[in-house]
Amino acid sequence: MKALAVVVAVLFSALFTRLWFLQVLAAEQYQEHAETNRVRLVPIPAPRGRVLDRDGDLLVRNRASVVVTVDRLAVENEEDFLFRLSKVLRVPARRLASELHDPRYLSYQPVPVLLDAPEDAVAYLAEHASEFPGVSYDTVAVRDYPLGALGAHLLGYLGEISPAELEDPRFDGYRPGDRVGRGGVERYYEQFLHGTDGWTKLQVNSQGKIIDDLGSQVPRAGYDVVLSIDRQIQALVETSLQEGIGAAHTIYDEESKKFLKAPAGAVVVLDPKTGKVVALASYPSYDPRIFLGGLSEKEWRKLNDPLASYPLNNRALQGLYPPGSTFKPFVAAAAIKAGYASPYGYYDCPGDYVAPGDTSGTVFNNWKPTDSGRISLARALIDSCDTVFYQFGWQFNRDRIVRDEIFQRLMRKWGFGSPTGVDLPAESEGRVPDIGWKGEVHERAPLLFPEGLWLPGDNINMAIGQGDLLSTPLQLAAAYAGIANGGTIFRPQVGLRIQTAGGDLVQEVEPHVAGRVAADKPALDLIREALRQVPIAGTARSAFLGFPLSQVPVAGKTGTAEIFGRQPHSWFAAFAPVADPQYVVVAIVEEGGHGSEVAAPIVRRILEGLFGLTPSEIRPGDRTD
Amino acid sequence: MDLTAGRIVVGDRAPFRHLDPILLVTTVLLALVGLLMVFSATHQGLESLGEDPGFFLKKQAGFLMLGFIGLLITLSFDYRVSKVYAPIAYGAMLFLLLLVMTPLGSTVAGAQRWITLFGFQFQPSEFGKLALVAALGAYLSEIRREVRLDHVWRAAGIAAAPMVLVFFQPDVGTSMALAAVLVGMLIVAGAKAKHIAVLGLSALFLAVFAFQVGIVEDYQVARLTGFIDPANDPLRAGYNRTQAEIAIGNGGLTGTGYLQGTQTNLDFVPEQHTDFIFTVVGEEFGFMGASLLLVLYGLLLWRGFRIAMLSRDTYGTLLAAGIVTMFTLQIFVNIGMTMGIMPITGIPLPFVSYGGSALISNFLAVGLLESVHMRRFK
Repeated sequence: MKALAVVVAVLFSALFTRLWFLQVLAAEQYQEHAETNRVRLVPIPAPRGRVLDRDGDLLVRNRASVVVTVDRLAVENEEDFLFRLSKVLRVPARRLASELHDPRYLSYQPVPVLLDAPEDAVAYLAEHASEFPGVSYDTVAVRDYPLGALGAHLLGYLGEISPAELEDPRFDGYRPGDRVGRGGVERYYEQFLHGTDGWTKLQVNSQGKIIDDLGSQVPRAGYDVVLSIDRQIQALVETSLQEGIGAAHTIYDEESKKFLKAPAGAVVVLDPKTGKVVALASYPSYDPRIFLGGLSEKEWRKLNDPLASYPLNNRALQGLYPPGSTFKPFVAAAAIKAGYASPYGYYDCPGDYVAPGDTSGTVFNNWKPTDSGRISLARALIDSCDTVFYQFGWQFNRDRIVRDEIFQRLMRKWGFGSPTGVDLPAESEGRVPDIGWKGEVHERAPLLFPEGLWLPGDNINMAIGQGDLLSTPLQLAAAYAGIANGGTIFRPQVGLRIQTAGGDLVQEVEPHVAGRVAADKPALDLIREALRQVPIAGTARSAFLGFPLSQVPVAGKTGTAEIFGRQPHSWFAAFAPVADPQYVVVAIVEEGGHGSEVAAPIVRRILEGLFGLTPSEIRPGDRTD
Repeated sequence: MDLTAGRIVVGDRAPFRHLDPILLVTTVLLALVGLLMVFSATHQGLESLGEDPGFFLKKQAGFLMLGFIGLLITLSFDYRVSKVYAPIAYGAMLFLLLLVMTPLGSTVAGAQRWITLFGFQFQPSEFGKLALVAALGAYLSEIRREVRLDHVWRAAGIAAAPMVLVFFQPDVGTSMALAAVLVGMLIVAGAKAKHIAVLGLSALFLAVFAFQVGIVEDYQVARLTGFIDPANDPLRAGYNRTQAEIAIGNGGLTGTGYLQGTQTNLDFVPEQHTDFIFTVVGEEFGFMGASLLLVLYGLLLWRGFRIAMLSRDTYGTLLAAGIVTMFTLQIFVNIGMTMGIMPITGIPLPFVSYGGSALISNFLAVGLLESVHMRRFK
C-alpha cells in the first residue's frame, strides 16, 4: 500500500513540475505561439514614391498591372496546360514555360508568368477556373516610365530584395518579395521612395477562417523625389551623344588603320553655381521597362555581354579615363600656385621635350611636331601645347619630396582622386597616382606594374592628363565648374527636394560645397580667358564654326586621352556663357579619336539646345590635339 | 491482510452516518468542473454551426445526474455483494467487449468501442475496468497465506482477456489502465517484487512479439515516436500535442479567464471536450486553476487510499486499491499527455472529460468506495 502511495506521490509531483514549467517558466513563449496561431497580419503595401524632373514632369510613376500566377504544384499535364494557357494569354507557350521554371521561386510559391495580362484573358481565366487549376491573378503596382528609356541610368530600376539586404538593418521592415531600387535614383533615394506599409490584423481559427478584424493601419505612401534634371535637356543630351557616336563611326583613324570604334560615351551637364545636375547620360543605355516583370535569363545575359559594351554601366560616374588635355587648365593653375608659372609669363613650346639630365633617351612629344617658340601661358592652353606642360611636370617632380607631392595635393583639391559624393550609387573614385600608390601596386601586382619607383616621366605625363591618372566625367565636370564659378568645388547633386505625394516639402537637397580650390582670381581669370579662345581660334575652332560665339561666349578645352593598344578617347569640356556661366558641359566618347573631332561637336550641339540657338548637324571637327 | 485490528467502536452503526463527506464533495466538485470545461470547449464551435451551444453541456449534465443516482444506489448496497456478482459482471463485460467487435458495435473516430443500445451509445470498456477490479479483487482476496507466482499468473490471465479485447478495438489507453489495475492490485495483495518483475518481462516480450508480427499499427508507433522525438513525426500526432501545450502555456499563472481562452475558442486544440479537456483548465484558469484541479484529484486519491487502509476486509482493500490505481493512471496519463510528458492515448480525464459511460462508471466506482468506507466497522 505504501509503495503505491509513493508511486502516486511521485506521479503527482511530475505533473506539478511540468505544469509549473509550461505555465510559469515558459509561459511567455507559449503565449507568443498562441498569438501566432490566431492572429494573422496582412500587409497593405504602400505606393512607392515617384520621380519628377525640376519642372514637375513625371519621370517615374506607378501604374496598376494584372499579373497572372501559376501554382506549379497544381499543374498536372504541364505541356497541355501551357498550350491552353498560351492560347488564352496570347503569349508563346515557350515563354510561359521558361517563366514557370524560374529557379528563384520555391516549388510551393506561385510563379508570376505574365505581367500586364490583357483584361479579356483574365476574365476568361476567371470564368474557366476549373480548366486552369492553380492559375490565379492579382493586381499589383508596377513602375511606369512615361518617357520610355530616357535617363535610364539616372533613374535606375527595381529588383527583388535579396536575402543579404533583408538582414541589413537599413532594410528593417521589408519583406521577402518586396521590390527595392537598383542603381540610380531608385536606389539612392530608396528610403524616401519606399513609404511605410500598412497592415490589417485579423483573428483566425484553426482552419484559417477569418473570425474578426482586430484593427488596421493605413499605409504611408512613399515620398516623391524631385530632380534637378531638365527632361528636355536630358533628351537633347541623349540624342546628341548617340548621334555624335554615330558620326564617330564614319571617321577613319589613320593610326590604327580602322574606323573609330566609339562603342560608348557619357555626357554631364552641371549648374556651376550650385552643382546641380541638369542632365546626365551614358551610352549605351537600356530600357528600364525590361526589368518590370523580372529579367529573363536571356535578357540578363544580353545586358552583361561584353560585346554589348555593358549598357548597365553608368559611364558618367563609373567610367574611369585619363583626362588628357582637358586636365591642362588645372595643371596651369597648380603651376601658378606653386610658383613655376605666372599668368602672363612666357614659356618654350618645342616640338618635343627631353627631361633635363635624363640619359635614357626618352622623348616626350607635342601633338604638333613643330616648334612654336616662346608662347604665353594662355596660348599654351589655347593651342594645348604639351611641351609647355611637360616642363611644369618636370619641375613638380623635381620638388616632389621637398614640397610633399604638392602636385598631387593640388589636384586633389580640385576633386580628382576621390568620389564627388553625388547622390547616385556606385560612383568610381578616380585616381591621382603618387609615390605611395606606385610602390603599393607594384608590390601587389608586379606583373601589371613592373615599376615600383616614382620616375620623372610619371609627373611629366600627368601634366598633360596621361600616365596613371584617372578621372570620371562627373569629376571633371565638377572641377570645370570650379573654374567657371571662381573656385568653389560643389558636390554634384541630382536631387532637388523630397516632397509628399501631395506636394508638401519634406526635405530640401541643399547644395553642398565640397571645397575651395587653391587658385586665386588672377589665375582663374587667365584660364577662363584662355579657354574662351579655344573655340574661336584654338583646338576647337573647326567644331564651333558657325556657332554664335559673340552672342554666347563658350569656354572649352579639347582632350585626346591616349590608351596603349586602343584608339584614344575623345574629350571636350566647356562652360558658357563665360562671363556668368550657367552650364558646364563635359562629353567623352570612348575610342572616339581626338577631342575636337567627336566630343566637341556633341557639346556644341548641346549648347545650341541649352541657349535656344539654331541646331546644327553633328559633324566631325578637324583633328587637333 | 486483516485491517480490522485498528477499528474503533462507535455507538451508532447505521451506515449512512459513516459516509465519507470529503470524497463525495470532491467527486461532485470534479464533475461540476467538468461541466464548466465541457461547455467552454464546445460552445463556440456549436454556435458557429448554428447549433445549440449548450448541447454537450446538457448531455453531460444528464449523465452526471444518472451517475450520481448510480452512486447513491451503489453505496446503499454492501460492497461485498459485488464480490458475489463479480464473476457474472466479468462474464458480461467480456461478452459486451466481444459484441463491440461484431457488426453490432459502432465505430467512432476510427475506433470500434461503442455499442448502441436503445438509442444510447455506451462504451463497455469503461464499465469493464470496474468489472475487472471486482473480479481481481474477488480472486485475490481468496488467496490464503502467501501469494505465489501461479497466483500472479492466474490474476494476469483474468486481466489479459479484457486487455486483449480492448487492445484490438483499438484502445491502447484502456488496455494500459487495465494493466495498471492488475499491477496495483497485485502489489497490494502482497505479490513480491520478483513476481512483478517476471510479469513485466513477459509483457515486454509480448510487446516485442506484437511489434514484429505487425499487430501494432503504424499510427500507434507514430504516436510513441512522436512523443519521444518530436522532430521526427507525422503531422497529426505532433500537432495535437503542440497545440495542447500552447493552450496550457498560454494560460500563464492566472489563466485567460473562463470562456476567454483564445486557443479553446478558436478550436486550435483538437478533441478538446474529451481527451484534451485539461487544456481548457490550463488555458482559462492558468497555473492556479490547474493546480487546484490537481489538488482536487489528490484529495480524491487520498480519500481512496484512506478507505483502502480502513477497510475491514481484504476484498474492500483490494477494491479500493484497484479503483485508486485506475483513477491514478487515467489522471496521470491524460494530464501528462496534454502537457507533453506522456504519449498520446485515448484516455479520458475522470469526471471532467465529456463522456457518459466513463462518467457513470466513475461515479459507480466512487459509490463502491463509499460503500467500503461506510461499512468498515461491521
